[in-house]
Amino acid sequence: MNQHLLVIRTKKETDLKLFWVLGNLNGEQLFQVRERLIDRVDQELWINPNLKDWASLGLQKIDVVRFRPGVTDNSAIGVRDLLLLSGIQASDLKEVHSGSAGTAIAFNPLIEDAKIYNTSSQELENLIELPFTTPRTHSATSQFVRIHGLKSSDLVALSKNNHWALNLEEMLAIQEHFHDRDPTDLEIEVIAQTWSEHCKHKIFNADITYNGPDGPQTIQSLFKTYIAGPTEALRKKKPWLISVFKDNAGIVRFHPKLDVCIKVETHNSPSALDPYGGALTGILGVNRDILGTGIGARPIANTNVLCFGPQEEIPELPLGLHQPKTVLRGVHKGIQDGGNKSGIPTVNGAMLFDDSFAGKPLVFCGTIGVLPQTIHGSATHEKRHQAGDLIVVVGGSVGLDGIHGATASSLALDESTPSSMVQIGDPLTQKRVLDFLIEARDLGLYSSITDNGAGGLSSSVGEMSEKTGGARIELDRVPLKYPNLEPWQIFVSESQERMTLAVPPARLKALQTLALERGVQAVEIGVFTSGGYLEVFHNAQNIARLDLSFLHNGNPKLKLKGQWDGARPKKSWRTSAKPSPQLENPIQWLKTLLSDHNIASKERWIRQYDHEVQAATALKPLEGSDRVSPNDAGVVWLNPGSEKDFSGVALGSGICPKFSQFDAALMAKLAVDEAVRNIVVTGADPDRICLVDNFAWPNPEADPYIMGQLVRACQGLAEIVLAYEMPLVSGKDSMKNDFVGQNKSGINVKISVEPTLLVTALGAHPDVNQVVRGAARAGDLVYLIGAAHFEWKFDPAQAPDISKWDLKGTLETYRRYHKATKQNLVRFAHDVSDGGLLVALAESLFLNHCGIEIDTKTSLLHAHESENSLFFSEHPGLFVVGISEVNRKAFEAIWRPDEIRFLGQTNSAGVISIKSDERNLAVDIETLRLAWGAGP
Amino acid sequence: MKHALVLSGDGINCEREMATALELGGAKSSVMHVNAFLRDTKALSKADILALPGGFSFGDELRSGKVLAEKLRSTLLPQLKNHLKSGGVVIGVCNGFQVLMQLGIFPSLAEERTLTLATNDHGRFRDSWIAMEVTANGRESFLFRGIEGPLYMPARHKEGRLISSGGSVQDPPGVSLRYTRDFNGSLARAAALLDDTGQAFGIMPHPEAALFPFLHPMDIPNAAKNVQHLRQFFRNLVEGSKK
Repeated sequence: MNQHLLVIRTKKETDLKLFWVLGNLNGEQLFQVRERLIDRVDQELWINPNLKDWASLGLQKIDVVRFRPGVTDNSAIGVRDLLLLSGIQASDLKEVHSGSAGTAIAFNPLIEDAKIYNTSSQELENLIELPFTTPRTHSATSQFVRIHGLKSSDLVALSKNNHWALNLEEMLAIQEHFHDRDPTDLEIEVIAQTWSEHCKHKIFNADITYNGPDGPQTIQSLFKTYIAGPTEALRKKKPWLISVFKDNAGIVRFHPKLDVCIKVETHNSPSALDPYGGALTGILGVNRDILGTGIGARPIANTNVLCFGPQEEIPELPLGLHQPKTVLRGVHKGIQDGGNKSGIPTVNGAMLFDDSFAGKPLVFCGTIGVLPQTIHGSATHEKRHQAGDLIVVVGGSVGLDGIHGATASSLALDESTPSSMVQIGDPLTQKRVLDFLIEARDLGLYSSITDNGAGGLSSSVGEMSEKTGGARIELDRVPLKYPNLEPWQIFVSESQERMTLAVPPARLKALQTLALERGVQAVEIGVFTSGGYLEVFHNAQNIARLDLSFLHNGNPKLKLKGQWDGARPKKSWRTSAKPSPQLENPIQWLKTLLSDHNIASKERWIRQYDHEVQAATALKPLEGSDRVSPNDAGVVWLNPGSEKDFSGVALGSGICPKFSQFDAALMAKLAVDEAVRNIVVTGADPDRICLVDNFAWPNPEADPYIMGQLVRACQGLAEIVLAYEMPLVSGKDSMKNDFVGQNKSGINVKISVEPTLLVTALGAHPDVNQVVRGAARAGDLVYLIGAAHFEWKFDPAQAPDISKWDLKGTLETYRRYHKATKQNLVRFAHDVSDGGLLVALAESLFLNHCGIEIDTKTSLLHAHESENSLFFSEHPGLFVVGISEVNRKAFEAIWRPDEIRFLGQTNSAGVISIKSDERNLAVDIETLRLAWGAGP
Repeated sequence: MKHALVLSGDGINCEREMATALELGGAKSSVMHVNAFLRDTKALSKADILALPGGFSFGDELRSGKVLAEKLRSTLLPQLKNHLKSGGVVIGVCNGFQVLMQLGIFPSLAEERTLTLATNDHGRFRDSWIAMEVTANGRESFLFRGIEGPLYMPARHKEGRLISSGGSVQDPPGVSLRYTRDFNGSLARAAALLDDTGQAFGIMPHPEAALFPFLHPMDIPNAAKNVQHLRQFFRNLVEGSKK
């Protein structure tokens, strides 16, 4: 067995790629195949380089960075493939590891080792022999965990030391259930995964004693009361609801032949630890949710909403945290690779910046998919496995990566957070799995499918066995990345790119034959049973026999207290934050707003996502190819390539944590309205819209006020969902978004996210030929549409009083607007959101370099309305609409007098001018565009 | 009816829209997994057009298109020579173009390769619609018959900059479309190449993603006309096969 070092140097690139190859190979064999490894036009290959080679770089020092043992190494897989294709025998090739070398290479110590070498040092020659190892494992059989007779404090310590995230009541319930024997390590791990906050949503199902503005009340399950409840109430009116809150994603019917499913996930803790891997597995994970919905849907579009700390260097950042700027870069790369490499367009998204996201970033990843309503005459939205079907795992092998992801993400981050929960995805393997499964689905080769996400096999088999009433697993059959994993590790590992299928025995051979042909691993590991137990075997030894009813229903209900007694202005943990700018005049303030990172252009990041693979993205995140205006939503054609069927769906999001400090109910309502408005302006039908909720909260168990904010948010959400008649169909909560640590001076710092609700809206779009875009052309008549139900004071420190907001009235405005779009009266439209009217107008004018003259001396201002209030209000329900002059009559006839205000006509002069009693102001659109363009 | 064979699998992403585009061009498309294609030695002989769609084959590790090219090389190259000799047509888009490049199709299978597609000068993946003009060389090809004026389509790649080991040659052979302005630092602003037989075509931007007007951004001057041009291009491609 020899070890070799291959170095690939590409012209004009500073970093070298390094590959260590271990096998029964000599240098001559590698030399023979060198042409297969590089592109001779601009690359050279060094095989086992000497000091002279290194000296040729002309560098004094060189950094060498390598993955730590067990981290997914996609480049190494590429070289391994190449070596095998070059004729090297698989039996002669033991391992390949990759690395990079250069100057100042950024690395993450959680997953990578780095060392600086002097280029004249002998040590550099020894680099060839730099040993690599597999992760430390030890062969072990399953053990019993002694809980019998343990007192409370010992039970709590046992849970903490093992990262189970089980509280005392839960440990006591387990102790009581296992009164006649101790559980095995595997059994208790399965219980910990299944009962984790991440999987079980205990807080949303808790009994809550709440004291709010309307006096004390008891709430039995926020989920049932405020999320599922309103959806049930709307079910009769919305016959297009197909499957809600029970599968991996919600399913709706907006098309005669295809169903659409939607899911949005968070991946906050993993992204805090390794921004790239966390975001990549976030996207790939939510893609698998779609693939595991019904009997398997095909992902057609991704969305992502990202919340980061401020982008300037933060000197007082607590130890152990990445600078928010670094987090953005890593997360962005993860989203990019996750979508682009899977061939799924990223059609919508947002980025937010706030001090409170410097501890844990919020990384929301969403996917929509399509599912034929029937295949071979059977409905596809239901899983149809039965006892006797075989359990088949498809995709990657199992390693130590992602052990305890579900339980660890249910805890606050601190220094003891295990780095084994960090994983890097392999988009290629997942793409192969996706292609294979859609083929297998259409051939009817399996009866049911679900994804392996948090909790791994424990969760996928655990969930599926509920339907048949049991499962029996032979753990020895599970393919491993390296030997000697402990049985419980195999069962709970969250190693990526795996799906679990139920396969009727008669179909197994056909399924495995197809898998082999497509280069996908598909291994039978057990069978679904009906006896009421989850049984796990290892080396013929029974190491788990878990009562399913205890596993799924045995967890004690959480009891929590909440109270809300009014606004509490937020306090930043930072000591070096900049003072806020002051308003001088509307134009100066407009420039300030446009260059605020929350509003400014994200084009440099967005362009790195593929928006239009699958050739179905009718509305992309940016309108225009050189100069751009932002669009409000993504619109995707459901039947691409058809010459007759132009129905689509619109996908938009709303998120506004800045209002949580005033009232989380206000925050929730504004988030819903923004998400809805974003898709309505594009032409989506307000009567065919469904919503997805994603709560990202600080720990509500720690503080009744935070719990109270959660109750308020849920109440606000339920109210607007019912008024808008837009049912929630799927959702997820992430409840422990706190970081606890110390700064350089040893002072304790806690950073908790602002309570945040992301609302994602999915609506039917009747015709992708008539998508309303966000950019104006010269000559458009521009209106502000939507009634102002209350005055929105221009004071960022004060809560707007929305008690007079007529939700039903806003819905009626949306319905009228939809009528206008169906009559093809609208030339462009853009919602008025962050920053208000002038920001929205300016953004619409960018693409075609238009100008507009606004005269506030006319009847534009309502009684008692100030100019600043008109220009900068973030009042819900408003949008800017442009039409052609010829349509003036028809358009104006649609509206009630209080919901339409004429702003002016666009021109090609490229100047926004404002005339009022006091003064005349003007600014070049180009000046504004440059201010906007200097985004993060 | 002409038959188009569209490869899929191993990270190829755009096989569906490519199959649709060729059908709009008048062909009967069939999508075939790379593994099945390598086993079926007769597949190419039955096809008039071979299409290598875009995507991230083998995750684009090392060099875009490299691993898939090596996987296909020994089986495909001899078949491909026959296919071209007997009048067949080949199209590679984006990653498919990169694969054809690594296989040594451009400028000629008979010569040592001096061209390649390297990382864009700005170093990034970029998705943006871009204008291209047909070069004098392109105007001689059947592919651009009846097509006047610029073509618009989305470019979506990181490694699309044509370079030559001969340095900055002014006029690399086979350039049939060039960006109207610099997009990625490509030699002679090249966006697409034809091989020396004139029947193998590689292009970085995606013509198959611009066949409907509503897929166009607002600032494309005449989306309907562009759609006509690109549909004409696919008809030319299909009809140009003389196998």
